[in-house]
Amino acid sequence: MSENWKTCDGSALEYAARYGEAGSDWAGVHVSRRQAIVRLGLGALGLGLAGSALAQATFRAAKKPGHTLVVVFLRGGADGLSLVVPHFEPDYARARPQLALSERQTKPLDSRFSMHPGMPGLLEIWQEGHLSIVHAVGSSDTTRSHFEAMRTMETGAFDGRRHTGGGWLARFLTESDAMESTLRAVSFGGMLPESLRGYPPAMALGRLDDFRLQVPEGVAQDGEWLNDLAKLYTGPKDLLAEAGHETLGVLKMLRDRPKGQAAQGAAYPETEFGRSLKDVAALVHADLGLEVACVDHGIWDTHAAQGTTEGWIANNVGDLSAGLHAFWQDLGERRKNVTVVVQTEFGRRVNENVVLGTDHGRSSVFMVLDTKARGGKVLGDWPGLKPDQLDEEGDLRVGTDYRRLLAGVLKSRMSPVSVQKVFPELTETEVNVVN
Amino acid sequence: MGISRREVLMGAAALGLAGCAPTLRRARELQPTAPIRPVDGASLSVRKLNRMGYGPTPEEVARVEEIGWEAYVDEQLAATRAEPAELEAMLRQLDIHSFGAVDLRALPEHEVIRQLHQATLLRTIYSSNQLRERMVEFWSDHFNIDIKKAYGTFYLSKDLNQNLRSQALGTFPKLLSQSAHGPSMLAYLDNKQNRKGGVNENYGRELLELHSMGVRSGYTQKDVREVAKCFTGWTVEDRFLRAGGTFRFDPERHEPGARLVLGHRIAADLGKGQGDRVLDILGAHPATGQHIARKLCALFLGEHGPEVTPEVARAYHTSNGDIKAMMRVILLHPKFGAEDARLPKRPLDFVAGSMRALGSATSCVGLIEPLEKMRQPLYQWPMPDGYSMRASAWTGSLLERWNFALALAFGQLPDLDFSIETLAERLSLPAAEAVNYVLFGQRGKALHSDPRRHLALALGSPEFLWR
Repeated sequence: MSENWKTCDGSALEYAARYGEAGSDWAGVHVSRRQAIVRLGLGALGLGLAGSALAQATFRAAKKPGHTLVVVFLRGGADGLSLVVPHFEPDYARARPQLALSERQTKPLDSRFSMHPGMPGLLEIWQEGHLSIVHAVGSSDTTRSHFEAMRTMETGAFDGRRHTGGGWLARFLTESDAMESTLRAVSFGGMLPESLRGYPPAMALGRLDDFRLQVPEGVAQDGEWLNDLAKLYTGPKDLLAEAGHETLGVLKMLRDRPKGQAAQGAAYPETEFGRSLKDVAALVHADLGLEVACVDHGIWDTHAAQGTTEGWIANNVGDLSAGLHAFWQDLGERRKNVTVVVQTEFGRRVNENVVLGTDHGRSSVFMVLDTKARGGKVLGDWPGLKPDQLDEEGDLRVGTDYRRLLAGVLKSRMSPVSVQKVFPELTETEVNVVN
Repeated sequence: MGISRREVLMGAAALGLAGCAPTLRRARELQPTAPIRPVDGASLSVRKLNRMGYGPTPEEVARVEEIGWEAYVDEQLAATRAEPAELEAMLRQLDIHSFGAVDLRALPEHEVIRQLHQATLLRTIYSSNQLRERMVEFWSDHFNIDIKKAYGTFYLSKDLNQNLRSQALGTFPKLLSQSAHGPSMLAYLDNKQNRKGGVNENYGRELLELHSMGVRSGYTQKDVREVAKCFTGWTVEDRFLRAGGTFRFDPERHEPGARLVLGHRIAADLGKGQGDRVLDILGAHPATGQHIARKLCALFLGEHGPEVTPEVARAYHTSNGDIKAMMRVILLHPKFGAEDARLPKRPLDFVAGSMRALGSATSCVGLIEPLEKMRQPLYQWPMPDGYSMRASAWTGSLLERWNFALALAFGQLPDLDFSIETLAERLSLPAAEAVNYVLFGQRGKALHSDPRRHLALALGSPEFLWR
């Protein structure tokens, strides 16, 4: 497999990731095979009825409940200094005359840090010992571009432009092909994130309940349509055909999944984020072999009027906390099979700007929800907020490379995989923030 | 003046007259009826038309056959083909074409969003100048605006439908300058608030990174800051009793001082001209030509893009950013239309392409929700980089495409009309072969004995997912 990562460019990699290791059938011939079929032009249309039905498609279900990693990405650059406040730093209040939260307003986490008051749900999880918080986490990216910083983090690279290809989760899924399920990896609420690029079976879902074929009444049974479509999507001839094949598998699985799992006192917020997490919980409960779920939250790009205990940032932390709290309640006993990572592409400048917002900075907060979290104390190397401790732009420096934390989570929680394969450029050791 | 028009509009809205919208009845006038002879070996023309515009109609395939590809390309580059009168009439009915941003605010936002969709869908489906419409979409991604932010809904129409469309095949430096002056962009990337003592880098950064030179093309953090300062004071008119929603330079907000941008000294006394000077520097910068050429080649040539990019970048430089010159190189390149280019249909391509091929009549209101479900609601990509051109970004949209195909084939989309029988008659082909011909340029085989089920499956097939 590693050969494929090295030799393929970004586009061929989408195939390599899926078929590179799948046996002699596909290794090395993925492109020519596809081209051969494309050359037939109306391949499926010409041959359509010759294929066999759904039965031929392999819908693989997980045998036993595995572990699910939920990656929540705070899009736009979340202001870590508002989420987890370093009230022991006099420079915090000095840098933010209007936007600083006072110690009195916030909820103590340890002797140095306190939490934004708008996150009672996360505070409760912290008090239960199910939350690890690491401060001053970031990447090497200094462009302060959303796209560059996200690309770096989602590719799992040192430098998002010169990375080995595909997303870090895609590499993880490819490397740890232990548990085979059509629903191994999903993302909610938008398009497939960069972190899953390079793993074509990953599905971008909208709402779970809406994920079904809508066959006009009186025309035919939906099963018949699934069959007809399955004849067209018999196998891996190109990226979209493969996605269609996988989509049909998911449709069948969801149609047949056990229903009626009620949320146990879980009050999800009526937001996109709340709905997405509710669907993730439903998939976990349904035992469909879900290994990775990506959920976006945000926009956190608070350049202007970010507010303190009310307004933009307060609304965001409130929704984040309520959603995660409901999710954690909903999971009940299944919590022990789930780890949630919360990350963001960068933090924001220490000094507030004149329109009461904050501009793009460097490091921010990284959180992990897990029954074996290392709570009690905010973790991570703290670079400090004194002017001479900040970087040249006036930003909180990176105390911990985000990859060390992700690697730690993979190693301690997910199926065995070589960290080197997932984060090829990582030279430091992983950091375990779950026991 | 503004107030009275606004009152007229509000009064009209109250009477239910505003949004006297394009109707299915009018759209029926656009349906082709005359017999048309299928062309043998049309699949190359079908691919070219899929990539140049929003897909073939039997009439356009025949026209390519008749006048030849090069003459066809020249016609499209000139973009002077007469538009169907009914299309123009329908577009004129939309309030977004008659009123400015301030007046439009009298209408509910969802109504304006509907009209923005209708205008774009009508043009992509019925315009004779398909290349121009494709370019409008390309530039609207390149200069992305999320209408859900900062009153974008109300600002966008003029910036898009007048300014951007008029330069879509013009010159890039002009386009860049229009975008910089556009209220929708000034609001979306916060330059509206970029001012002396409160420099906001958002626009300056994206101008360099996304709009012109491209990331890591030689500019520095310092250039970003200097560029941002050059644009201080570029804002949107919002003073009391002024014609709002237009560009305004406020000298009071301009940060004084000379600047150094990419090694060019920009004099202190230029005022607004500092921003213009930056745009000139960027428009002439080699990295900009390279960046635009790379993106255009990716859109039109897919996997063959990189091999053609240098030639297109050269065309940019020798012509000072003439978009026609670049597009001529691309559209006449031997690799244009190549089978193995791997260009995905995005949802708009998929929806508009199926309408065109089938000769549907539609007011387009029934197409808005499907587009949203397929994850391409128009002008609502939140990040400034525009909707993705990569196939991998669209793998999650397939179920909604199948649902669209089913609803279309079985007549369940509102305000939409077509007939497989009429299509088959016009082409003198059996129904399934007629469907295959208009979609793929080949007669192929029937996937089902029921023509409607065949149509649903053909639209839902892997082949129809690619341009």
